Amino acid sequence: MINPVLRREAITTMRNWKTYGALAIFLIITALGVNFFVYVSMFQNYNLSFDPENMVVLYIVLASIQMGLVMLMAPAVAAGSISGERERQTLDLLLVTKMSSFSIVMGKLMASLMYILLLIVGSLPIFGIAFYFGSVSVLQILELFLFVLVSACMVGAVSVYFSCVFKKTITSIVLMYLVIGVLCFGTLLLLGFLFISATMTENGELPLMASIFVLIPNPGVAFFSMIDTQLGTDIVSSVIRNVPDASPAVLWLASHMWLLHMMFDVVVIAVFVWLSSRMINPVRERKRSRKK
Amino acid sequence: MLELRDLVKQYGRFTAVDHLNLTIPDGSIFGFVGPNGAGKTTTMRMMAGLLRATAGNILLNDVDMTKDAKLLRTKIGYMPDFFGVYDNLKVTEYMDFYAGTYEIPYKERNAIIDNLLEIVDLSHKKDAYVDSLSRGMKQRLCLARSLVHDPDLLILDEPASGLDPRARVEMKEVLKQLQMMGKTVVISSHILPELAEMCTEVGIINHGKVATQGTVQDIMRKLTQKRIIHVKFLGEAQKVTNILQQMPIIQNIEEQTTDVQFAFDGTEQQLADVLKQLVVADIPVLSFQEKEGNLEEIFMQVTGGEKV
Repeated sequence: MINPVLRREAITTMRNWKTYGALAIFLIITALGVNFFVYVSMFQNYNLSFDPENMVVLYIVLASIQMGLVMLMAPAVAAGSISGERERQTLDLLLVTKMSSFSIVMGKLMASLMYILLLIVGSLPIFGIAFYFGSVSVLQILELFLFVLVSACMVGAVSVYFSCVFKKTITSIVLMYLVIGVLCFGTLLLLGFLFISATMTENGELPLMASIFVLIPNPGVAFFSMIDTQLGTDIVSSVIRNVPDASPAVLWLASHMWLLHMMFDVVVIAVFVWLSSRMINPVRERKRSRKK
Repeated sequence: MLELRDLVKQYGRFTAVDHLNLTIPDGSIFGFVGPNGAGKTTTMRMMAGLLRATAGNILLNDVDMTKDAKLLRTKIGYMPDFFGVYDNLKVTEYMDFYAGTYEIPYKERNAIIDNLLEIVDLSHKKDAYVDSLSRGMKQRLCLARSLVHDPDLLILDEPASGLDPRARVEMKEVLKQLQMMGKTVVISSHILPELAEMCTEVGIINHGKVATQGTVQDIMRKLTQKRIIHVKFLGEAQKVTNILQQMPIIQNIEEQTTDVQFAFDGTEQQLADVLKQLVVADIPVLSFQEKEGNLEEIFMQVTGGEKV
């Protein structure tokens, strides 16, 4: 039996004009990005032609636009999942049913992912341009989609948790954007701070493992690492090679940041789904310290 | 039978429900009355499994529901005082969604939904969008929703609030139908006279405790210790008053033009004798009946004058 929450969300989402509006905006931005790139690379030369190697850059542009838009849209989609039910005064009606809190949260999360999946599938024809010129393989595009989907799921899971905690949807959305900001830029700032602190010590070097740990939660770095691996540009590897005394295992981890990040995402998803389920369970057990 | 035993709900130092004891017989329509903040909604939310009781038990047919929230949800249908509906969802889809949440197999749903929509008189609206329905229709739809899993007990928190008189009458009809189906219904309301008409029993709650419980007449009798009898006749009221004044079991005679009201403290036989004496005295009696208890008056007396 399909999760009833997912089934209902599917019906109501597909009947809402906002769904098609957001999809249209997503596709227009992506298509404009591609057109701009093709125009610049083809028509700005003396002889109107294009270098197939440029199409690799087209893939990077497309993937970056998609990743960026999904990270922007996922909080807006998921952050209203529980608070929206509360605002609509339908949450109690849902909680008195036989559905477990876990099923409700999973239904909400899957509904958000379904929407993101719609955006990704909708952009497939545009990705077809990059694929047509032979810059990337189907497997690489699928790999990218999986990465984007897992990242969206992580953002979605945390957003759902925020929507359980905060009454207003807008609070959850703003907070989620702040979290994404901290993950993308806060980790870089922290790394910079650690790097400067390390140069002041006797050793003068920041261990590579410490840098890896700080950057694992960063979706931007993970995305860059994946594109770097896919296209064989080896920018990350060439940087790492300059790090002295790094073991082969650490070097491998550093060049597969995207894999580590996806594992981090899976853990975050599991933790936040569990927390959300606990949060909306109206009769959950609370541990109390009892004085005897 | 539903029993609430020593039910307590505390929010920090504030006690919303304070050792509340209540017994609701099977098949009854039980009215839950109390002033604002008396603990009605808190008690109902605990009964529906939406709040954990700080202490005490909720027993449905001797099974403790506080220990098994999932079982409680299969046995109880709940309609809150305020609720919303989903946009872009048709009436049948709305019902189908809730049937899904109760794990009712797909093949059984259509028959259940059709039957419930017929009970609440919404069959003609089955293809309408729920957000387009009037408030009264939404209330009835929500009632149908709470019945989708065929619960033994229905908890309705102020089902008549915000409804126009016609919608209230329709809601009352549906409730009578549910009672005939053997459902136990617990209703809270601020419209006290209506509750008296509708309910087989009432419980008055004040400061988180049940102040009194029973039929309206029982409570009336318990509180006033007397029955109020109303007599309507043709002719002079003075003659009737003179006859009644000679009887020691009759007090507080209130005389009006063509009717008389008095407090009676005696047996059924003595009451029959009063009527006999009036007829023997050649009074053309049009009606001789016990006055229905005025719940509002009882309520004010029990709750110490706190208005709803």
